[in-house]
Amino acid sequence: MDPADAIVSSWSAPIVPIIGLLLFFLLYVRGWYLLQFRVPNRFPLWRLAAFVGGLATVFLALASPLDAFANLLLQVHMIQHLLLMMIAPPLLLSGAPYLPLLLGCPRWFVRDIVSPFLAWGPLQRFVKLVSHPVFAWTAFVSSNVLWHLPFFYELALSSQNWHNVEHLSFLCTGLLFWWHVIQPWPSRPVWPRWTMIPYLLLADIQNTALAAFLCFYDQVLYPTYQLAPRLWGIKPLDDQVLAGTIMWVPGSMVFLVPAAAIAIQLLSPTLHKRMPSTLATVVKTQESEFLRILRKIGWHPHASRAQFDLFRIPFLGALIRAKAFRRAMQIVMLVFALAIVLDGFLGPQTTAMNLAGVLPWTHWRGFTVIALLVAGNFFCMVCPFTFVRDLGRRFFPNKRAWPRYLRTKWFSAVLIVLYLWAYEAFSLWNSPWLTAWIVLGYFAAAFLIDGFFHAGSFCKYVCPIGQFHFVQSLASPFEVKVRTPDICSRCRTFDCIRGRNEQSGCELKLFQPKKASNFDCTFCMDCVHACPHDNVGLLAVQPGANLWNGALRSSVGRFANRADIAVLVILLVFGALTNAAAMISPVTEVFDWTARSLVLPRPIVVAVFLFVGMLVVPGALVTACTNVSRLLAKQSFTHTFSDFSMTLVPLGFGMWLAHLLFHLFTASHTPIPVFQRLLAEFFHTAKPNWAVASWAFPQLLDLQILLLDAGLLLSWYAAWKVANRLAPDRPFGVFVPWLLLGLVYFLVAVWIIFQPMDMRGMLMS
Amino acid sequence: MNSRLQTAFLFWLILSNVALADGGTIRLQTDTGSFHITVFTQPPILAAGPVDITVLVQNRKDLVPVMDATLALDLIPLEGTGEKSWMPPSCAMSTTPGLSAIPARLNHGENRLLYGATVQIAHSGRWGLRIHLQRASETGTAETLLTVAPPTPPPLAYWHLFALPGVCAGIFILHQIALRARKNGNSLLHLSRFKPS
Repeated sequence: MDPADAIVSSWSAPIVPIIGLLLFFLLYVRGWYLLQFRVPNRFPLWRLAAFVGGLATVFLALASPLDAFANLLLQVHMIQHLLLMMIAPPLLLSGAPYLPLLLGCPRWFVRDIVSPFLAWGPLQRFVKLVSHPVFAWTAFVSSNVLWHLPFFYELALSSQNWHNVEHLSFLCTGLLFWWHVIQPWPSRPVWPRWTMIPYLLLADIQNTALAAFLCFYDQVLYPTYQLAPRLWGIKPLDDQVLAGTIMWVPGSMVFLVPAAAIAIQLLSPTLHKRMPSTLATVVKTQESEFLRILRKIGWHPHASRAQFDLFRIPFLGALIRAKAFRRAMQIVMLVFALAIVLDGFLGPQTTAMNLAGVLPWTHWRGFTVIALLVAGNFFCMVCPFTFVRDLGRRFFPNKRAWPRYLRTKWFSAVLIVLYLWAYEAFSLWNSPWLTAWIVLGYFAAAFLIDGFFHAGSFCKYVCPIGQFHFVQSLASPFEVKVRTPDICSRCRTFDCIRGRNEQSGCELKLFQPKKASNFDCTFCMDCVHACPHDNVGLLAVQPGANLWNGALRSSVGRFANRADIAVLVILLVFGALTNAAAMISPVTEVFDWTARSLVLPRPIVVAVFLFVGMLVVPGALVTACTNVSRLLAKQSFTHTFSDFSMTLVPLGFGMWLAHLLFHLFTASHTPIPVFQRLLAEFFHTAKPNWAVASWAFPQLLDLQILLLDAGLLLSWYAAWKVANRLAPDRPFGVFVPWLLLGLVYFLVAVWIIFQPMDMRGMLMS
Repeated sequence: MNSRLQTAFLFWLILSNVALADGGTIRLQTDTGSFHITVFTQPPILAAGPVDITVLVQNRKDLVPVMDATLALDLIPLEGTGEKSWMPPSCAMSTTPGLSAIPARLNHGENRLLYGATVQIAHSGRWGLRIHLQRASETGTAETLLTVAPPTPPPLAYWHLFALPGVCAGIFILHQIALRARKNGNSLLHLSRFKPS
């Protein structure tokens, strides 16, 4: 590669700035799009172009070769600074970003999150202070001078974090400074317009003095550039002079051109007349003006808008709701399941060399939790056992009702405990043969139970996998839900539950208008097809909102009255911890030591561990928290226990995600050589290459901690909302026990993910 | 988001994080053969664990960057087997790469003029860094000493992620204070009073 090409191609992708810029871009474009219909004269196309140009300038400064060579050449670093201080801020402000950014945000976000802050006195006073021209000018000039002092300049060069702080301070003080010059609508000028001329000229004097110092100082000011390699023989002092010249000439132009434009504007009789009339529309405070404008353009914080519907996405939406797609995916999954069974029985019994060793325990679980995180319960939708279950109905009567005393989650909760125990006690993950038996057993159970019992009894009351998905999908961002409730209120046929023509209704007896949450929903889409009004969609919802709203749910009732569901949740939440803990070396060493010392078989040791980790400790902690909360809230134990237990779902989901994604990423490529082995056995192709790459990357731990963070925060928020519902007068005391429980869980989870973990299903050298 | 986009995003996320090298602290500047080389390390204060080593190779005569050389790095422990480095569990799974003949490649980091490699320094103490350089029949070697500090304790390396719940909780508390102030009528803005038209 030619050096010139290498320089031009020296771009980077700084994640945080890019995500921030993309977010602002999307919010502004959305807000501008809404505003240009309502107030087209205020938001012509050039405002959009200016704002996008400002964002592009920031991107250019932070990701282009300017950043890559800033450490080697002062002149390049100077251009980077000028872009951040003098080019990007005026462009961004020319887009009048205040209203577009607000309108670009979701309505609930503006109403519930932003609006209280905008109205908060201390924040208003702070904004008033920092947005005063004296403060803005001083901050801008100070930032410019301070960061060019050798000590601070070297500090920024030697530390990426300080370099980021420097760039951020340039951009922020630049925005403050140029705010008064650009005066973006609908802000109100603090000083008369003519004062902007000395405001700009004084800034230019400071800039000129600094530039002249750089140009005429006869020594290299910054030691880094003295030591830096001289590209093409450019001498450090020449580099410094050129940097000073860039600061002086183009830098001064940036101040002088707007100063001249303002002067011309003020001296021109026509322009001068127009200006005050524009400003006269602005009332006393920015906030009230903001409100007035919003109301004038028809924006209301409580107005409802159609929710985002996955079915409305071209092609993808039609695909997801198509019956043929679901059936095709079930067949694909069935083929995989049969291949797992056959390979489990007939293939090599080394985990990493067998489909039964790699696919179900690592990849299927990993992709399932990703689907739950980004969409919803899509595994149940394409479940291969459902396919077999449908076959069972053709062979058997399928008339009986599931026994009344088993119509709870107690039975499936017991199955979950048994499953987690067997998984560790008999190392199911390490035995393709046992894995094949489990899959076969599942097929048989689905076939027989749904062959004799109707109403999806297997899914609803038995399947432990289904219960896992039902619980975690409470924190998913999409829900099968009614689009327009009014249509349902006029409906008298109730096809979504009764069915219509050949289309059956919801067999799990979830009545759509009263469904409220993903709980017990298998995403079968029967209700979608049965509704004659096409009124059921896959709608975006606030993740976790159903954990705290206390709604009455069709076929489920209120969570507050369902201790069985609460226990199921507790088992799954603490099961996430025990399942991961059993794979880390400190715990496995304890297992081995105990088994050796007490001469006990390993299954007994594991059983004791799970009994303590999933039942005794969680039981004691949750009971203690419930007792404190119920005394303060003056509620019954069952209601308090059930309501607050649901709030732990995100915490457990975060741990499952952190754990299962670790295995998915580290063992990402392990199925490839297994498939190669099968091909080699059947078609005599090349021998498998067992040394595979993986998606593991150093920042995987960061991602795991972030997932735990998100789980903790959502759990805390849910618990706070429940506390407010149960005890509106003193929510804090009711909330504190659950705050502490969440924190303890988080710390234990972090400790676990910091430990070396078994690389299950992998061939280790 | 479809799976292709997700995959592309994932790769971008991974690659952009791996791409650490953009210079760093200068450890060595020397002439060898017909080359002038500059060695940078990142982070500036070396600690046991992953370290980014980048090298700028220039023609000694005109200081034009050389783009067609082959570089290999050797890291030799000189004294002490100090505190061992800690690796995230996902990295610890891979066997520790050898610390000799580590290839340094162009396009390693942000600055495409630099040859670079990320190496895992096993423990603190003094290490020797040797650079072997070859272009056609020309070869060169350079050496320098590196003083490696003990590794950062793992929780400290992730302090920003542990602080996140606290920061969010702090913002939430401020939000609740602001909300309470609004309910008490201390503000100018009462968005919630407006009903849909």
